[in-house]
Amino acid sequence: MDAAIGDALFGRLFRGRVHSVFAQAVNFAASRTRLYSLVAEELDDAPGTVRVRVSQDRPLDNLGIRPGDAVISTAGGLSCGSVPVLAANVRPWSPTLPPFPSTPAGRRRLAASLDIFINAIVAYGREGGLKAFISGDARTLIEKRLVERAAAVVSAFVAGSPDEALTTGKGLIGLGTGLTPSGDDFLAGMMVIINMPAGPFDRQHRKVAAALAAGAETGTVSRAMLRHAARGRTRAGVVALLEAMTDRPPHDVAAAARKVLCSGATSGTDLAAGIAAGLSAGLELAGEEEE
Amino acid sequence: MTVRIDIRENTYYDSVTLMALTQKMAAHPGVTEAVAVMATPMNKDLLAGVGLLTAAADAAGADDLIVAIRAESDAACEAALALFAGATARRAEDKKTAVSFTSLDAAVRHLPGANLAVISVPGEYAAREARAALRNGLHVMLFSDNVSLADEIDLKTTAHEKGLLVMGPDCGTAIVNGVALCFANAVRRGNIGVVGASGTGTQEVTVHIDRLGGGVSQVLGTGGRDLGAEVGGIMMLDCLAALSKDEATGVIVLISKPPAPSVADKIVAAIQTCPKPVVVCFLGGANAVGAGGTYFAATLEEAARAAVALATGDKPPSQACSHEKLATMATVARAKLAPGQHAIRGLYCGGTLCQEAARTAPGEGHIFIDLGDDDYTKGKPHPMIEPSLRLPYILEAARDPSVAVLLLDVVLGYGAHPDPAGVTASAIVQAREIARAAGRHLEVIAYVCGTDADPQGKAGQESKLAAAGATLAKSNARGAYLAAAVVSREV
Repeated sequence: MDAAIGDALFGRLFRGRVHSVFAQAVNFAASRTRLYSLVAEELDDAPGTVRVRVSQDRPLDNLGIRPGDAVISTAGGLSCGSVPVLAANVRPWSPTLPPFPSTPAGRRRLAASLDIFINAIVAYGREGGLKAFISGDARTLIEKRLVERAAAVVSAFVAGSPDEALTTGKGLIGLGTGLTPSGDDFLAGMMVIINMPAGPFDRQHRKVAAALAAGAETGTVSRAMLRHAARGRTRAGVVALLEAMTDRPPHDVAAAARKVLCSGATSGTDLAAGIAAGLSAGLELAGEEEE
Repeated sequence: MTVRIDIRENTYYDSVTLMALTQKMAAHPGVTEAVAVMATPMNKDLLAGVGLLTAAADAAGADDLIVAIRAESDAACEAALALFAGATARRAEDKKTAVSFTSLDAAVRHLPGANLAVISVPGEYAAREARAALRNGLHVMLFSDNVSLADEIDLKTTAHEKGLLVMGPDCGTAIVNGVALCFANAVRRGNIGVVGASGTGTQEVTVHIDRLGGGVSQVLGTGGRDLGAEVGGIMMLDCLAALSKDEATGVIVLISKPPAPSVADKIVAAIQTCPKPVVVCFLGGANAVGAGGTYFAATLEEAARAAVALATGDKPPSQACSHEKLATMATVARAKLAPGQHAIRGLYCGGTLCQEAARTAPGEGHIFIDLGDDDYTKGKPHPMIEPSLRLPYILEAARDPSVAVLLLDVVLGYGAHPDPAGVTASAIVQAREIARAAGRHLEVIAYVCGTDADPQGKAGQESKLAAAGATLAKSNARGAYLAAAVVSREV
C-alpha cells in the first residue's frame, strides 16, 4: 500500500464512492481530487493504491462491486461495497526515485540505457498513441496531433520556457483514447523524470509540472495520476526501471522496460515515451551545463 | 453527410478496445469518419477540428465517452453506432457469463478435469506459467514467443519426464480432440495424426488432407526450435510416440524445416520403430521412400497426398503433382512481361509457406519476405490477424520495374482476420494499375490456405482475389512453381 494514503484510509473515518471497476482494479474517490485504488496483488505498488489479495477464483469485477457503492471505514479497515479490506494485511510502500546521474560517466551509462529503452519501446510498445513519438510512424489523426504536441512540450522544457511549457503541456492533457488518454500518460512520464533528485531540471520545471497537474482538464483517474507524477510519485515498476537505467546492466534495463510497456493497454507505452523524452531532455540539459 | 453522436456517461474502455471498435465502425459501408474517445477538452478540440463536435458532445464531461460518426446517410450512422453498441453489450454480457481466473492454480481448481493449458502471455512470464501448468499435470500449448532456449529445453525435459507435452514456444497451430487451438483450420476429423514444427506448414498439410477427403485425428505442434541441435527434437519424438499409441491415428505426418543432422537421425530411427506408416516433410527434400516404409515428401501438398493415400490403404503416388497446365499458364503470363521484369516478390503471412516458395525460385534477384517474422511484427499484430500490414509492401513491389510476379498467401482459419482477401484485393487492383501505368504487366499469384468450412470460407475469399485480377494457385507449392515458371526462361 502507498504509505502516504494509510492515514487517510485507515487512520480516520473514511467515506467515499466506487468510481470504476475493472478485473484487476477498483477505483474509489473521496472527492474530485482524491482518488484511490484497490488493485490485485499481482500488480505493482503504485501511488494512491492498496494491493489486495482477492480470492484467486474471483477477479475484482466479479465481486459484486458497482460504481457508486459506498466505501467506508470499518473496525478493522475498509468496506468497499460488500468487500472488506483489512488494514492489518497491507504493507506500506513509498516510491523513491533514484538520483539523476551527477557524473559524466553516470550520464554516459544513462544514455546507453536510454538507447536500450527506446529500442524496447519500438519493439514492444503498442501503437495508437505516443509510440509514434519514438518510432516516428504517426498514422492516425490522433497520433499525429499527439506527436506534434508532445514535441512542443519537450522543446519548451529543454528551452527552459515555463510559460510555453505550460501552454503546450495543456494542449496535451486529455488528448488520446482510453481511460488515461495518451497525452496524460506521456506527461506523467516526463513529470517523474523532472522530479528525479539531483537532476538537471530546476524548480521552474517542477512548478510547471505542478501547475499542469493542478489544472488538468481530464478524466478522474488521469487527474489523480498526474497529481502524483507532478510530485515524482510513480508506480514501483517505473522506479525499478529508473534504478536499472542508472545502475544496472543492460539486460536488467530491457527486462524492466518490458514490464513497464506491458502495463495497461497503450498506457505503458505512452508513459514509457514520456519517460524516454524526459530522460533525453535531461541528458541534453545536463550536457549544456557541462559545456 | 450526416453526423451522429452517442454520449455514454461514466463509461470506460481501454484504448485498444476503443481503437479496435473505431476501426470497425470506420470500415462500415458509408462511414467516412469514426471516433471513440473520452470527452476531455483536448479530445473535444480534436473532434471540432474534424467537424464532429456537436452541442451534445461539447456538453459531455471528461469521464464520459463520446462515439462520433460521420457517414453518407443516417442509416450508415445508425449501423455504425449499433455496431459499437452491440460489441460493447456483448463484452458486458461476456463479463457476466465468462469465468475468469487470476492464476492458473485457481483455474485448475475450478476445472479439475482439464489436462491442457494454452499459454499466451509476454515471453518473459511464459516459462513461469508453463512450469505452473506442468506442476499441475497439464499438457502445455505455449503460444508465446521470446522464451529463452534454456527455458525451452528445461520445460521440455520436465514435460518428457512427467509424460506431458509442451507444444511450443511459438506454437501457433494445434487441433486436439477436434478442438482447433489458436491458428487452425476447420478440417474434417479422421485417422491422420500430424506433428508440425511450423504453424502454417501444418495448416497447409491439414487443409490439403481435408480437400483430398481425409481427416485428422490430432494435430500437435512442437515450436520451430524443437528440431534444432540444442533442443534435440524432444517434443517431435514425444508427439510421435504419443500418436503411435493413439488408437484413432492410423497414419502420422511429421512437418519441419530441415532439422539438425543429429536430430534428423534420431527421428528417422524413431520412425523405424513406429508401428504406423509415417510421412515426413522436411522442407526442401525430394519425394522418396526410406527405410522401414518412411515416406519423404518434397512439398507440404505432397505430404498430404501421401498421408491420405496411406490412410485409405493405398500406396502414396510415386509421381509428383503434374505441372503441365501450370507451364502453359506461365508461358501466357511470360509473354506479357516487359523487358527487365525478371524477379519474383513473395510477400507472405505464413513463415513456412514463405520458405517453401523461396526454395522454388530460380536464379537470383527474387525477394521473399515473411511478414509474420519477429522483425516485422514487433509491437504490431501478426499479418494473419491484420493483413493490411502487407498492403504497403504490395504497392512497393508494383513500383519496382524488375518485379514480374507478386506471390501472395492468404491464410484462413480460426484466429485469422475475418476477411483477409477483401483487405488485400484493393491493393492488388492498385498494384496492377501502377504496373500498367508504367507499361508493365504484374502477374499476381495468390494462394488461399483454408477450407470452405473456415469462418472466412475459401471459395468466397478466392473469388475476391480472382475479381482483383489474381491468378489462383491450388497449393502453395503450385503457386511457387507457377511463379518460378513465369520468370524462368528455361520452362
